[in-house]
Amino acid sequence: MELYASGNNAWNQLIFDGAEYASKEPTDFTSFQLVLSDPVIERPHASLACTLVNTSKGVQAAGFPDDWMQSQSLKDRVLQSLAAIAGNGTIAVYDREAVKQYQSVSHFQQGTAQRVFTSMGDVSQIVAYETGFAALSTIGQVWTWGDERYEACLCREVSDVSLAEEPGTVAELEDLPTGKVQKLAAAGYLLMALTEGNDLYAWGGHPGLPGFLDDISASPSPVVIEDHDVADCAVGQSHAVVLTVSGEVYTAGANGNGQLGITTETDSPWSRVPFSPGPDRTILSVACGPRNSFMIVQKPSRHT
Amino acid sequence: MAYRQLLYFCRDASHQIRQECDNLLADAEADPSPQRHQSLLGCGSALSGTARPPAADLLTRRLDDLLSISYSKFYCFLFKDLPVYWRQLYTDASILKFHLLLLRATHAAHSHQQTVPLDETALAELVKTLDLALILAGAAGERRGRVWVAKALDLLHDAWTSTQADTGANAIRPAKRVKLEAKGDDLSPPPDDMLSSAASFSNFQPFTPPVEKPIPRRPAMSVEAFQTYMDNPSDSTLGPEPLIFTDLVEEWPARTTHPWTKPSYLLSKTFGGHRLVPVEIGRSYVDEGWGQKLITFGTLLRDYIDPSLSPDQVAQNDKSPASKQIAYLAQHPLLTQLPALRDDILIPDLCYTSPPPHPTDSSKDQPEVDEPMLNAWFGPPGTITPLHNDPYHNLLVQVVGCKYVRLYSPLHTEQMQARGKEDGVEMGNTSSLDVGVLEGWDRPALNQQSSPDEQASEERMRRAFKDVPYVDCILNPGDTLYIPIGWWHYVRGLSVSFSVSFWWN
Repeated sequence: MELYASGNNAWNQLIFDGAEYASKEPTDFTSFQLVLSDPVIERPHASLACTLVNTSKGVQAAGFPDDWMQSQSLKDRVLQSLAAIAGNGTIAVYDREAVKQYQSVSHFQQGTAQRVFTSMGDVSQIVAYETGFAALSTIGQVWTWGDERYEACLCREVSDVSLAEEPGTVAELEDLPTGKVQKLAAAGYLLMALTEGNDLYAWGGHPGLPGFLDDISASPSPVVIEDHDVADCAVGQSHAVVLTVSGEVYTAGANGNGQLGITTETDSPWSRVPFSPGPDRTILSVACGPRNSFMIVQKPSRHT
Repeated sequence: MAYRQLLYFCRDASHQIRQECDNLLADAEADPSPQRHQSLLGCGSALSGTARPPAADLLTRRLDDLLSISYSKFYCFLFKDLPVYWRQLYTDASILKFHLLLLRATHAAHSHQQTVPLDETALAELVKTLDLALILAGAAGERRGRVWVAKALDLLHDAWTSTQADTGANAIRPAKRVKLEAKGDDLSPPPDDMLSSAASFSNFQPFTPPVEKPIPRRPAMSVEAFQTYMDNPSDSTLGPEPLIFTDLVEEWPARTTHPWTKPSYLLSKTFGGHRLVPVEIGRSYVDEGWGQKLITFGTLLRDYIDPSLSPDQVAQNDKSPASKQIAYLAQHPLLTQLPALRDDILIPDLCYTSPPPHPTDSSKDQPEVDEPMLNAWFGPPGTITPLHNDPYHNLLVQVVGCKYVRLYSPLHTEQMQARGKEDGVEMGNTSSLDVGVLEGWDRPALNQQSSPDEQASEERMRRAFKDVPYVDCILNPGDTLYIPIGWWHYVRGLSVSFSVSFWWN
């Protein structure tokens, strides 16, 4: 399998065998380039300065590790999408019993949870945005909680009985025409939900900052990219990446670090990335760091 | 050469930042515990160590990355919870960016073989870089921070004015310079004799509300007499009541030798109007479509405050609808951002008293402040600060122009129909009543047009509100209004108006 990446590389976080580059100030990648090959490549987790990826040789890291990466258990949970770290430094971790929220890395290390939530049942995924979290339960419910100032990201009515800081379900993401939500993605002030029937919805927004997608509000709106069904999605600090069922990758948003993998901007918010994985190869999934983007490519199996 | 001193000053700061980053990284390796929230390391080791010098283009990219990374944190937190290291990171990145821009600009200027003024765009960019650090990040940092930024702007100003003079002597005036002067955009302070003849702001008042319950006006009190006044109210449940002092600020340079009423003086203290200031756009902060933005002081003056200043009549007739909006520099610590203007005022001795606590609600009382908090309020006719109260005692000094102020006592708080939390922001200190609309001075904002049922209830509200007692006044230049803690106040600019408020407790 192969991992391709484009975008921010200020900390060499796209360079997995660093030796030959070490002496040079690293530059960003403005197009998707091969960064790692291995028989097993799972979905990477990219922070601002570091990329973690599980391979056949265990977890490999590139770049400058964050403080929280000293914790093996947190690293494992984050890579399983069962823990996430918001932009304001709070951490949410699912430990098979409850989702526990910690104010900071040191609170996590000391085991002092700020809040413990048991209302969500079995959780299959936790994602974080700048000031809060969303979780997907195994029965397909979407829960959100976070800073009440950015209510649009919560996608639900906040009231005295339904507090912003405590998980509440997003009713608008139930009974969708193409089935349950199977995956969430979030970063910045944008959240996305992908259904089992390959429809993509987005919501969120920040009253003071212009968004990069049209029609983003406190209510989920379908993300329409021509007439494509969506196979996978990922969100960065101010960009997003979508993999279509037909195997094409589209990106939208800020391109200051080359995170869109394109050099010519188009009028539409979504641009098709001019990337071909090569004969017999398919793009399996996509991922985003705050300012970079990734795709995992499946090579045809070789028999020797 | 003119910029040498500033270049050295920047070089020292860049070295210092580099040194600090190296030390921090060494410390982090020696002690990897996360208990180091005071230093830049709070941003994470990766961010603290980025100040290595790559090629210039890449350096610009990385500094802009650091600025946008740290800026995004300003939104993540309530300002009171924002760790200071994010503000310092923004400030230090701004200092490095300023150095880089300066190197580029002076290099470009010297390729002409002589000391010529910096390119206008380059100058604007230099000033903007440091103003953003002041306004957005409060120019945090102990070793550099606000003091460094103020010094750098002073040196830049000196260098700029000296190259202006040089060029004048050589009689080589670039076309741009001539155009600038035509706009009244002179960067050097006008000499005194020129000031006296320079134009003042228009004192035109499009609308003047009647004063129905005038607040007592009297000469200034001694500190002791004012303390006694506050300690011995005629109504002990109410506490001290509003007063106007008519001669408290006679000695202020802003009212005499450094006249804030002269646009040319204000321009000379704001880098020819290049300094950036935050303004509120829209009639009142509770209206739909209201927003805040950063514009240059020159734009504020010429496009919003007093369009008659602009001799460029074509531009005036050709204004876009956007520029017909009201812009208000409101509740901004302008005098901290512009120390040169701070020297034009004096903190009234009356602020060094011990005023009583909130008369009805002790939960409103704030921890004691060491120094009075200063805010500037500068806008065209028609600015409105909706009915609200503050958790401090306030001396509101009217420096330029006139303002109408109406006050309701804290005993009538229940009738003020305070707002609640709106979009997660506590608005409980602001009334949902619009005094101007209830009095028939203004039309309701478009977003507040209502159904017949609502109109009926509004009519009941209007009648009930009419009976709530109040006091009011028109503040003239030189007047100082004492607003005791907790008093609801509605403030309306009548002419071009510049006020300074002092909060204390």
